[in-house]
Amino acid sequence: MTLQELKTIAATARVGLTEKEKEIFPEQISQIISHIQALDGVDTHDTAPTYYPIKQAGFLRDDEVEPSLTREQALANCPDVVDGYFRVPRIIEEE
Amino acid sequence: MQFNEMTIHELRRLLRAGEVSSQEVLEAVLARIDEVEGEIGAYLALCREEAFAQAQRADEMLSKGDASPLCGIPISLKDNFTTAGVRTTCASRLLENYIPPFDAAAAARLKEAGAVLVGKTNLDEFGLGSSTENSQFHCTRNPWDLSRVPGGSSGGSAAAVAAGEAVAALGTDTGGSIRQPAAFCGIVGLKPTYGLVSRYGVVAAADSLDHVGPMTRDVRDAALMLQAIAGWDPKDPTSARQDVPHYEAALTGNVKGLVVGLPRELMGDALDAEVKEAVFGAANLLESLGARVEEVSLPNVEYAMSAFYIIISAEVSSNLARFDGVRYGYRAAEAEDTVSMFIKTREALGQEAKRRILMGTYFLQAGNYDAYYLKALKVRTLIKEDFEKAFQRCHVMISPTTPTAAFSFGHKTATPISMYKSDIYTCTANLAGIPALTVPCGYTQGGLPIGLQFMGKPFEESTILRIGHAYEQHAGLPVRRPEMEVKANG
Repeated sequence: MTLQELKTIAATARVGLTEKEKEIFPEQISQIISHIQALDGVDTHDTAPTYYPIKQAGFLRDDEVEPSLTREQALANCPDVVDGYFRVPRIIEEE
Repeated sequence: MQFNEMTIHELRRLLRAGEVSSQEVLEAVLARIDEVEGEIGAYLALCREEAFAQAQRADEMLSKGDASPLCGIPISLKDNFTTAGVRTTCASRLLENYIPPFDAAAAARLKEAGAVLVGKTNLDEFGLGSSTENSQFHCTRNPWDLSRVPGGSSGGSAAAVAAGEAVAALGTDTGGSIRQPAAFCGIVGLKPTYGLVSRYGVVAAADSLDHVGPMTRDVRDAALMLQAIAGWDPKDPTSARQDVPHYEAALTGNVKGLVVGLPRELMGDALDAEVKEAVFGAANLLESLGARVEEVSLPNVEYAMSAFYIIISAEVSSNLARFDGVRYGYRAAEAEDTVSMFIKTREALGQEAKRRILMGTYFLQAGNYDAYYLKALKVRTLIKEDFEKAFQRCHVMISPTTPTAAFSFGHKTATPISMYKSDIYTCTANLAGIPALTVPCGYTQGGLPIGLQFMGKPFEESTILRIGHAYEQHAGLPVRRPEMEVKANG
């Protein structure tokens, strides 16, 4: 992996890198990828993927209202509360 | 023996007989913490005041004849379990000041059982690592040799139990993070079947691989802890609707007729000679107790490391996306726009977390998805099938827990691949979702503990606890505690 490829992936993942990381990651990641390429030799032609190790995973509970945190409890540890809401930075830019 | 060094079941007897109070046990644990924590560094936070209030309540419950085995027992939790009103950091600067308003399901169940929470233990940031060196706050030292790592990522929990700073603890295990540190610190660690213990309130690293489990001084204690936390939870969509048996009742000491598989692929060249000898010694002992040991084969297990690494990275890159500066914890100041705020905030992640996010992003990219991620999921199927086939011939399998005993600080940090190989014998059970237990099975010439791993069929924790317990009872290992040269505190 080249430094340029690393920078592209870091931008996609929204991860800032330090100078040290830019120096060591390309080589480390290349080593990991070459190690992983051992999988190329495995015949998986007729094999289905396993996403979860048990079959039951992924059920949804009934949509029933149950006791939960009060608004006060939910907001108690929040550093920035306005009128009973969490205040967070704007994440959608105005046109 | 001091109260803080006893097992849960020894303390249960004394507490019920009124020979000691929960508050006295807690005092012994806190005194030990004052004595050795400066050297060990097992904890990220202590909850002294809350612990005394809980111990007082436990003593009241005990005086009324409360029967819960965990009532009044001082325990610790890895700092990736949310705890209402107690800072939960995942050893990450991104969550340095995060105080959750709710308890993780496993934490809540222990609390209901009357256990006393002493504190939150150190880990590799977000559970990513095998030495606890990736904690962004401080290192934890192995009580058996302070120049060595305690293993990871649940290194703080393992060191706390081994050093007498807690009677038992909970950890999480994504590729070996309960079993590898338990083996390095000479204690028992259990990763249950996927879905048996709720993960509600555990900060997710990799959904399809993360497990919650006990870290204890002996197998009986692991059974008692598991009993308290196992069972269906509607708040966890991966929780299994499964009956929970009585685990302690399974500890009969009898292993006659059990067939023990020894997978030849897990006894290969990577293995340290002393560890290999200890595992073969354990196999011989099990035979002498009436079990039958048979060689079995897991032909695809050599690909487990690679498949595991792809899957964990992909899932981590997705899970850690929530730490963006908007919702939780740290937010970088003075960013020009939203995207730079994300990037600058996430620059505060540690190197291992970043490597996994970058690798995961790479594996999931269009063009790479099929070749890496989908391929790894298919290899996972093959590995799972290998286990299913081998379990047609045996009831349990044994293997080393780790290729070597605890290593020195800095020994593997420069080459990530060598660090990942610490999990080579443990990550297979995470891919297959099967239960796996580590029990101490000897010491190296240098006096470091060695772990023996028992793997079982899905939801057959009772069987691995039974054989692990029988082994422990007959192994005749000298009961050793780490001999620490304790410097006077303050």
